[in-house]
Amino acid sequence: MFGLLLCLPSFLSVVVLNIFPFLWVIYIAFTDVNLYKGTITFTGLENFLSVAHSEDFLSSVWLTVEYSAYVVVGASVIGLLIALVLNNEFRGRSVVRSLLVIPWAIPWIVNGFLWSWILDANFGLVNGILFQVGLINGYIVFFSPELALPLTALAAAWIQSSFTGLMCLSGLQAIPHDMYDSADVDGADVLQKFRHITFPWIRPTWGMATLVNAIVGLTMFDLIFIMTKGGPGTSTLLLPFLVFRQFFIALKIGEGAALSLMLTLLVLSVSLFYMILLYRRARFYR
Amino acid sequence: MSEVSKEKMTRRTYLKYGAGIVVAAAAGAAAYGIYEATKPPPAVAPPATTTVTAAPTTVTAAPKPTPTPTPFTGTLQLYAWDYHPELIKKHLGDFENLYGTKVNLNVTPYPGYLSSVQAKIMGGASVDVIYVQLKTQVKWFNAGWLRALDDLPGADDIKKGMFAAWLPRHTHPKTGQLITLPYWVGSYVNMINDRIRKENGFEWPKTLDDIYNQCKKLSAKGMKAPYTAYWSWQLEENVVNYIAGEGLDLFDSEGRALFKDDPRTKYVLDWMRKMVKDKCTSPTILTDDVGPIVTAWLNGDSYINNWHTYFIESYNRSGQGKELGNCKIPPVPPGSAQKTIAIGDNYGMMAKAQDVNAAWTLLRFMGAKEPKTGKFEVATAWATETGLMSPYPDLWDDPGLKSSVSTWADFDLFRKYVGEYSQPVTFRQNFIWYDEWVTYMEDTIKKMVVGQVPVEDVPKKLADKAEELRSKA
Repeated sequence: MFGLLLCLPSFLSVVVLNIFPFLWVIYIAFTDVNLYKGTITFTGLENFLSVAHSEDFLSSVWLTVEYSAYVVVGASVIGLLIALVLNNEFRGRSVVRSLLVIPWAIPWIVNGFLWSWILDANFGLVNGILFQVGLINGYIVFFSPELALPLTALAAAWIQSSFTGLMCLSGLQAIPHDMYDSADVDGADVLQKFRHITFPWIRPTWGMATLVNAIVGLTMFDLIFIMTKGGPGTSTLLLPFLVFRQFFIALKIGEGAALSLMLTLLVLSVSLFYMILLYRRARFYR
Repeated sequence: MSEVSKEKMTRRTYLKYGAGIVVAAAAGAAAYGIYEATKPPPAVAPPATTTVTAAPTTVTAAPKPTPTPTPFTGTLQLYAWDYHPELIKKHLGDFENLYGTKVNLNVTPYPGYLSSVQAKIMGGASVDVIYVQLKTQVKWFNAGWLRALDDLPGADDIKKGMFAAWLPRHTHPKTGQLITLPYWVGSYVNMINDRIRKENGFEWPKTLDDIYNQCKKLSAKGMKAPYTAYWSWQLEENVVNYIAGEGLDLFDSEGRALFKDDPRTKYVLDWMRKMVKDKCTSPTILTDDVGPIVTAWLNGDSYINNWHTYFIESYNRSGQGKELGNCKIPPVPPGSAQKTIAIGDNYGMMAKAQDVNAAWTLLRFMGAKEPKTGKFEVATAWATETGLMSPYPDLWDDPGLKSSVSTWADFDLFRKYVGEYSQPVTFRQNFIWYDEWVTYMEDTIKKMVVGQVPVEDVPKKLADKAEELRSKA
């Protein structure tokens, strides 16, 4: 009983800050909110049907999943490679390890502006370098309908690969070195050591980082707001941006709440999928 | 029972009770929703209402507290967004020196201003005077948040002292009541790099086709962004402007679409599509933010920028870049109607202001001629320091203002744009469904611009959507 009492403050804060707002969003999703009249009218499933029948909804869901996949592939693979490199002995390793924190420490909004300028079609760093070395004759429009989605995902992957790298590096440092010594005695090559020792050992850590990357991809708003505002056209109109638009521009509070719930379901489904995929064989190594 | 199993039992029990609470709360929320759906409408004491017989809606007039004769000794609350807050503070300091009334400035970042202040108002925050966006002022008034100003001393003189064309931006569309005073006004203009224009032997563009032809020539010469505009975030303003320039209103006074079968709509949409397709615009016009647009203009990578008049001040005086000082505007707005749209934001007084006299004194100090000094104190300061103008002919007659503005603009032409060429676009403020229609319209036109939707389908799609929303409202 005393233990439960000790938990009460944190439990209350969770109720007030998480559970109540979540339940309130559920309630709002079934209503029509008129801000100007201050009225809330129960409308049943109307918001969900209206959202589901809107032109942008399905394409937005697909774009969100696609975006998340780009972030996961970019951040989780590059992050793992970074960790593997930084786990080796070399001169200046501690400096490079410290630098790894920098992308992760940069706020998302700053990161958005940073990549906007790097990829700008008129003054961008990338275009400038490619032009100066003679690889292109005219500047490339990076934020075109075809490239905008993967490139905004690249900006997210840049930050998340830093996070993944840090997580995996901590996992790598926990691997007992005598396992590699035994593998050396058995004549294992580098790839075999990675496959049978390194990856299984850090798999839970890498898996958790991948899950976080997936969730970051599915809920990304800041970068889209700064870099493309959902465009060009609707090429980067991800679900979180659609939620923002319904809430704060169209002022359709009920539809915004319905979309939020759909986004939550999407995040839960994808997270569950990742968890099953990543952990189904992990028990063999416990 | 072992320690391990004890720990497991405790966690399970904890989760079980936790889940129970969540389920109970969810059931409660659902029950409350059903209750809300089925309960009878609340008995409300009859408010002070003015029924407008000619109109299908009933407009609720805000309650009007009687002006108090005793001097106000409290602190007024001003809600504003974050454009030059240091200047606002300076103005409020001047106000305190003049009247001895303190004003507390509450600043909210512009991108979230609307949602933030609406939440605060609904939450019962004490607000006396507030920055009001045009698109919300009628809705705020109808909701009983803003107070009508007609009965306050000097209100009639303020109305008479404005450029006539600008008055509808400050009055209620159905009752004609004065509901706001101007914070700033301006026009949509095509700002042209005059050096580039002269070097290429271009005449002033008189039509959208002229703009296209000139930009196409510059694009062929390698200019990166001949035409720029804030299509990424303010496309609605641009579209309304282009169509108004052809002499067409998008909606009538009842919200019926007027553009569906009008050839001028297709002309404008075709023009927008070919501007992008033929590389006459910045290649990233649909994603460009303020920074790249301004930088392109000041670096000479852009020839025309279609935006607000106050950017003339940035391009000719306060900006940085090799093209500083080369910005001119055409003698008449391009387009067959030679019209552009009036833009700007307003100040309003809350219906629940602590003291009507004190709030009105502040409102007049900021948005009209100050009765004690007989000058446009704040309006003149905004105009000279930042290029934000006001719709009062008297203000424009001030020699000091004229000499200040003349350092960065052709004063007489600027006055013509604001006083003659600009038309208020009242449908932007009158319909509750307009914001939702705008999100659909912007999506559809953006898709059209990049070739994902055929131009000829767009007018019907937009008109059908407007009708659908209008019928639901």
